[in-house]
Amino acid sequence: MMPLHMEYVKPGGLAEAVSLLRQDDACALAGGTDVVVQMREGKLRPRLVVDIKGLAELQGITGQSGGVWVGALVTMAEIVKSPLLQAYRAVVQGAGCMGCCEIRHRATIGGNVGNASPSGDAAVPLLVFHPQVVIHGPGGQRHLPLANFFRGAGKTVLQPGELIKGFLLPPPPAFSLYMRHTRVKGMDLAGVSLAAAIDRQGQVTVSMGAVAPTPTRFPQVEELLSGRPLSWEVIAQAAEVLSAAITPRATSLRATPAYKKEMAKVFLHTALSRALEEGFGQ
Amino acid sequence: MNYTITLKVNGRTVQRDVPAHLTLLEFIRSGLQLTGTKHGCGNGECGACTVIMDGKAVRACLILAVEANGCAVETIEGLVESPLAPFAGELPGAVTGTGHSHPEINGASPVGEGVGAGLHPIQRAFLAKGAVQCGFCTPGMIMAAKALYDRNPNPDRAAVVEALGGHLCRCTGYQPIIDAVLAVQTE
Repeated sequence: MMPLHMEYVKPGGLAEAVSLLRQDDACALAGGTDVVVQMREGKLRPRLVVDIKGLAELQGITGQSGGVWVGALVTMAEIVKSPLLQAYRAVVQGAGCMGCCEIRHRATIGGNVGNASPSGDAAVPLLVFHPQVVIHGPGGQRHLPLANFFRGAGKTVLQPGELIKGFLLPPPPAFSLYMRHTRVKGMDLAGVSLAAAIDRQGQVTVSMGAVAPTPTRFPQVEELLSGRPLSWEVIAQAAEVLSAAITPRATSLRATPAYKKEMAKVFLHTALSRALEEGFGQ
Repeated sequence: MNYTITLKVNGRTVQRDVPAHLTLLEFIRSGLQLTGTKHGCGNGECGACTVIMDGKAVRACLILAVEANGCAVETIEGLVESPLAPFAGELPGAVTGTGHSHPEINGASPVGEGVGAGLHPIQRAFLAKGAVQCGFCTPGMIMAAKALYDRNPNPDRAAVVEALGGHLCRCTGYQPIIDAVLAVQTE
């Protein structure tokens, strides 16, 4: 049941949005594909809905000092089509498999990250690109690495009045890939997912979704794989380390912990095989 | 508290006062009496409520009516100048226009000639291919197909499957629906 007494405002500018979001029980609304569902399920009962879709500062995909700026309001459909983001293949793949066409037309990258789902199809691949989250709030603007943004399932570092303005992606890596497992081929949330990237210096980054309360990177795996040729032995060893490092909760909704531990190995092996096929990691 | 919204629905301008919690789906069905758009899951998972908003297929159950202020919305009723559509003329608050003043409906003459005449080509293809059984998913499927054809006049099978990927049908097994959408271009 939707909150019957909520109010709605569509602020004309960032300053107004921030002052509205400082109010008690205020909630930012972008694409609504998570927020409206959570309101109907009673998980979210805002007194005030602040529709941030009109904020120009949160829009657009632009090149910036070798990297890319992605505004928080950029939709999954826009990510898929963006020429600038094709070099960040994992996030294009994540955006392309999220929900369905109708969802991808509305769902935003800021919303997917801000919702802080353990399995966010944009958040998990985004992590391997080492982006900075740009946050705007009552105290002005602050940046922090995306890896430090999540605080738990559905929990982030955002304070009252703060919103995600966008993401600064450093120059793209040489290789990246996102993979996920779903129960059905069509619309489903990821039961388990993995993203991997290899930069031009051979540094490997690995993140997984739906194996911990937040999208998570695995430094011990990254260290094993980085700065050396990817042999089958080292890949197999890293796969074991990754599998041992994850501790999915027993009440996982879409796959058992044992299955996720096996899939972690399969995904890492598949991703790195693909990298070798494409001529990276040697 | 109510909010005044002005939007275009099937080409006609509508102005209404709506509460913030009302979804676009509820607004279309209850406010405008356009009941062709269906309420399936209410959570964005089934596709039955798909409408086209500003040229893009969207889930009406996941959008607040207030968010549609200033937008152009197309529903299944907008595909044809259907004499059965209650949403005609200047849109009073209550249901009007049962269509019975139309001579066609009174049996004076058929609508066009043959089965499906007067319907949109996508609707005719659905009839020709047997893509409708219970019909509950059909309006959403057809709106998704229309949004596809609006941006891509020659979709291949993969494009059709992708466009319909978020639509559930419990009757047909999907193949006749995909066949129907593909058949539109050869009509």
